[in-house]
Amino acid sequence: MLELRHVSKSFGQKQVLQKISLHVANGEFVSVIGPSGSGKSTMFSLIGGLLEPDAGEIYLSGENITNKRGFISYMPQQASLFPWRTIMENVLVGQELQGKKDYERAKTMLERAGLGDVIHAYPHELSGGMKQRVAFIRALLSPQSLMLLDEPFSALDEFTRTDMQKWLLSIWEDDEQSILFITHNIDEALFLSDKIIILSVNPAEIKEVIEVPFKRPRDEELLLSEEFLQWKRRIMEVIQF
Amino acid sequence: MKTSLLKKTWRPFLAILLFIGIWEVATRLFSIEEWLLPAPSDIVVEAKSVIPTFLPHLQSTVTLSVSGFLIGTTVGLGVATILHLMPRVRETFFPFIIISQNMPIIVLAPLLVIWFGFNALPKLIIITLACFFPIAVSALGGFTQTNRELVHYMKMMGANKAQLFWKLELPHAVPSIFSGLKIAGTYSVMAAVVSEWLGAQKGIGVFMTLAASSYRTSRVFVAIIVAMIISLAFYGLILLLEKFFIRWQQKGENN
Ligand SMILES: Nc1ncnc2c1ncn2[C@@H]1O[C@H](COP(=O)(O)OP(=O)(O)O)[C@@H](O)[C@H]1O
Ligand SMILES: [Mg+2]
Repeated sequence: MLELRHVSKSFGQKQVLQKISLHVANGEFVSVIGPSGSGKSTMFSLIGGLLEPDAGEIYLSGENITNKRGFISYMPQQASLFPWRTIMENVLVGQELQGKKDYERAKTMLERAGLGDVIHAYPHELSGGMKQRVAFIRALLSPQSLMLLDEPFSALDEFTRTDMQKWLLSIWEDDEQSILFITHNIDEALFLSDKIIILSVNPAEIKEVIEVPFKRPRDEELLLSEEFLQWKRRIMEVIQF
Repeated sequence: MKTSLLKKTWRPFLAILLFIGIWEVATRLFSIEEWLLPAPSDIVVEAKSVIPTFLPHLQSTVTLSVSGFLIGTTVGLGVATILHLMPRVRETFFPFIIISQNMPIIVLAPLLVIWFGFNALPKLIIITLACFFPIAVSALGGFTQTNRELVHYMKMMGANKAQLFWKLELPHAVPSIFSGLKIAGTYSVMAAVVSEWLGAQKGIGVFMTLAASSYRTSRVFVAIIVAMIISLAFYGLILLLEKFFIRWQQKGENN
């Protein structure tokens, strides 16, 4: 599906990304973890075609998409909904940009996501968690088959956050799009992903790639299991060295 | 809703009544001549008798200011859009816009009359100019202040320049454009009346100069009050449109 080959990027003198190579398979959920300022959002801007890499190429389903826009769907940290659009009109934005609007599918999806009551509401009437749900559905409904999620839950409180993670899995496990997910929360990465990519800092290089063995569908109990804690310890050790 | 409106408006309403009352009493008490300062009651009497002959003037001024307002709005929005989409052009011309915004447009009037004569055209040009600047400046401000996160989202999603403008920058600028429209609305009535002073067959400005030159001060007051009412009506109309267009806005967010 997505492949980065030796992608490097500097801003002026400062090198941010150093020869990043990674791979996201069809229907795979891959997380990237690394401290703030390590260059994760920069990596997304490169994949999205907003920035030009100094070296390396980016491929999507075999096609070279380096410096090209419109091939991925995106969910930012702040929900970034359009305040003048209703929830329904908001989730259709991604489809609108690519041409065709599927009103029925959007309605079904919103209802399945527990947003059926707010279809005609405006964003300011929704709580933070609800807005993030809408932003996720918007990304999911966009026609592109790869979603980039940039710390989508980091602005939420701990309770809402766990709810959101379960909710996301329940929606996504039915849909099976590919996801590349940025976080700096180890629990979150472990609970959600098939694969975790650990970045180092200054410049960011891939430190280690961890295959997460937990079966799907996953539920909350996993978070407290012995196996989960062992994997968490393992990741913390990688990060510390 | 109704009671809250009453609660908010009774104070200013009372103040106006008090003001009119003092005015009435003062003119009688000091027996001020009517040609100098007519009492409110004199103005009402005058208004009743003069309104039928006044109506054509009123109609003419309203038509003039509405046309000027519409042309000024169109040109203002058009120019703002061009300047926004072409940064080079903006860098070149924006300083001139700011400078000319601070120039009293009415000083151009004699020149415009020399060039275009005493017909409607120089008047329309003056009103258009008066409306153009607040709208162009507010629209341009709205475009450039577009939320950066939303712009980033749109770019990540592959939006092209046209999509970015129509789906994000333009709707985002609507509240800002409306604040420009409200200023332009009041300017348009003022500019229409003043431009009529230069010479016209009809209009509140003409009616006013005629009344003033024959010291019919009550009539002048009638004209002033009507001009104020038109101006307020414009403002109210634009406010209503704003309510309709910005109904998505969080209450209390913009005030
Ligand atoms: N457009 C830019 N120009 C210069 N420096 C930038 C730019 N974007 C990001 N940076 C720098 O690159 C580094 C990585 O930023 P970012 O990708 O946002 O990190 P992360 O998302 O991992 O927190 C930071 O030090 C940031 O200051
Ligand atoms: Mg970031």
